[in-house]
Amino acid sequence: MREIDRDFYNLLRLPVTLIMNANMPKVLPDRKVFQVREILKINQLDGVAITDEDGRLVGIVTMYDLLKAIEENKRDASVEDIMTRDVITLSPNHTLADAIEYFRVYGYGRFPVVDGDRMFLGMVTPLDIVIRLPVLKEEKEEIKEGKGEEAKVIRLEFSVEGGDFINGGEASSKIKRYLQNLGLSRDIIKRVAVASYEMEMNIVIHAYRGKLIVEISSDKIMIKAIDEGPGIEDIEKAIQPGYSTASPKVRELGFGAGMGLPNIISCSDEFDIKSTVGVGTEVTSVIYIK
Amino acid sequence: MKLEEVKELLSAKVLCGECILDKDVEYFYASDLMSDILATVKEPGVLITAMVQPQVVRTTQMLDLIGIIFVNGKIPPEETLSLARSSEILVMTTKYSTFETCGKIYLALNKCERDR
Repeated sequence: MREIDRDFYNLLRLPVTLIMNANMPKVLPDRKVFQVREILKINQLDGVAITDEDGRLVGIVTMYDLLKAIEENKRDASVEDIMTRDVITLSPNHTLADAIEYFRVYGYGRFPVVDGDRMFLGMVTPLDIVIRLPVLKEEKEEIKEGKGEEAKVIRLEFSVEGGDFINGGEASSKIKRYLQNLGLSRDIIKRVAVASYEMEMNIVIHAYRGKLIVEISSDKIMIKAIDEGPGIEDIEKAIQPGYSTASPKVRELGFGAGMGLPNIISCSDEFDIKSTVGVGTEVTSVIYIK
Repeated sequence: MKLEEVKELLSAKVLCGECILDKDVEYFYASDLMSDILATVKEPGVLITAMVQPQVVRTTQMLDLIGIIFVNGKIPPEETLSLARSSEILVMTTKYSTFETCGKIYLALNKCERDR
């Protein structure tokens, strides 16, 4: 496969939540037709989701619906009287490829993305896909399929910031989703997810910054965490269950119980750790795909 | 035991994920230490915890847990809830402590077992 094809193929497997417009104005069902038309005009939108007080999707309305209503002298009607109630929706589990398929099959101009509770998360239009692809390309510097040594190695790389407890775990979530899309078994996915999450959180907790790298080949998955940080003085101690050097602040967040490295080891078929005090640490875990 | 029954049992308030209230759950895990949870969870189930930061949701995501019960009447911050919503995890909060919550669920599970 040419590199550009491969890139494109990877983009298609990303979740639709990355491409949707999550920044939509909130429109309640009792808003008047003329008000909603103003809202769309100001926000340069062709359509908008109508949500209840809690943010649940109740319908959608398009600029066409609104203009038609105004023509019929219904400018003061509530938007719920003219909205489409029976809406085809996407869920956060759908991929970009699913969204494109939906546009092709249904021929609608937009699909709301809702969770299992019908909470409105965002809207996808074909234009969003066109506009956001370059942004996704940037994101793809993280999710990058490298060429690797052998032909069939998929390589994902993420940068992880030390001390970032808000986004800590996001890389592991993406890795897990990627493996699910590849259709690997639940047990393998869980072991990779737990190991990569512990490795990611170790960078967040202990290091200044680092990288999380995953290489997927046909028979194994290798996860590597390389950080710039204080390093580990006594590795023998560090891999003992219950031993931790985490600060009280980190412990308050439920981490630093001294189970991180032991957890990684128990998930791994091969494990390696190298550390230089004052430089950083490199942890490698290999999990065989049976 | 259905999640709906768990909700009744704990007089809990569901904060998100209502649509899976009819799901059956057999396994419950109670801990405030993320690594302990990562080490002990074997089967999909529900987590009982007093920790409310977004990392709790991340941890449950990694393990395919379907729900979180926050104890002591704790309401998680919006970051936690929005993460839970996007991963379709049920979140409820109960006024009971971890000890009371576990006790009630333990008795109810044993009763389910006996009734079988």
